[in-house]
Amino acid sequence: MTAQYADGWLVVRLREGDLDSLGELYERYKTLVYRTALAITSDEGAAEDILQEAFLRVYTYADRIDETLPLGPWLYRVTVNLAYSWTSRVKRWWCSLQDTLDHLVLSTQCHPEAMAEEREWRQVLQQAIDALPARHRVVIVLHYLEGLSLKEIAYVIDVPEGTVKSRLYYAREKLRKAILERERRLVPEVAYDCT
Amino acid sequence: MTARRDCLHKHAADELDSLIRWALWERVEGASPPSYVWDSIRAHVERPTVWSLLELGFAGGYRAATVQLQRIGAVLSALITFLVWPRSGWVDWRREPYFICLLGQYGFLLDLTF
Repeated sequence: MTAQYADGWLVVRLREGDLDSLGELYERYKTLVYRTALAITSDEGAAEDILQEAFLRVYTYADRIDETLPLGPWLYRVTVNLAYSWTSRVKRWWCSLQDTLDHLVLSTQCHPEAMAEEREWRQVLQQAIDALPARHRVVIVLHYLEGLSLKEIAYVIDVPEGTVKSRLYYAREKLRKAILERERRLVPEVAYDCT
Repeated sequence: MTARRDCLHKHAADELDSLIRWALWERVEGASPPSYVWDSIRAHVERPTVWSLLELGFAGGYRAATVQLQRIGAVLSALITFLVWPRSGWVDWRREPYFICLLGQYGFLLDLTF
């Protein structure tokens, strides 16, 4: 509760042109914004750009921010919108090329003895998350990484709670299928080794 | 290696949730923005570029124009009420071309305003 009031106080100070207040807000929320942007875009450069743009918006629109509410949800909303814009700007051919290269690199290293199980699983899941449509990826990141409730996510992405629930369900199903598919490709080789 | 798959079937929900959470955290663990991001924000804020100044000027001009249009709208509204509204008996004012013309102009101004 104290943090909420402190946010509001800093926003009011910022409206009066106090740049130190912006610095204080930046210190408070930089990791949250950067982490969310990085998880959605998988690109450090994009996450930095989004972080910069988000705080420039805090500065520009300080008079529109409700100082009685915590700044976190507002920043989540800005971050997600900027991440959406970024993902729509990225050329599809480049993504496909990168996926193909990743797949080739992975398949050359894919001997069980050459790759630790944990590393492989991480790669499989991260690739599956990257392959999700942006609207599903955002929900997954906000729910699993940021620990937001369905209601909070609904506010951030400005859709009904039922829509969030359904997107979360479909995203989880896609990830489950991706994992099982990967397993299907790997298991015969392993099973042969085991027998 | 096969154990993970079995787990995924047996304890599907919990296992999948943990895997997703773990994969996401793995990617961003310890991630922190470089210090130059703040330097860049500060530079933008302290030394506004020509474009941002133009943008601010445009926004200010737009706000001023909106206020003027609102005033014109209020005056027109009073004028229409005074001139056109029937003061005695029934007049089919809705078909009056002068009134329709005025109403159209007023609607256009309202569109511009909002």
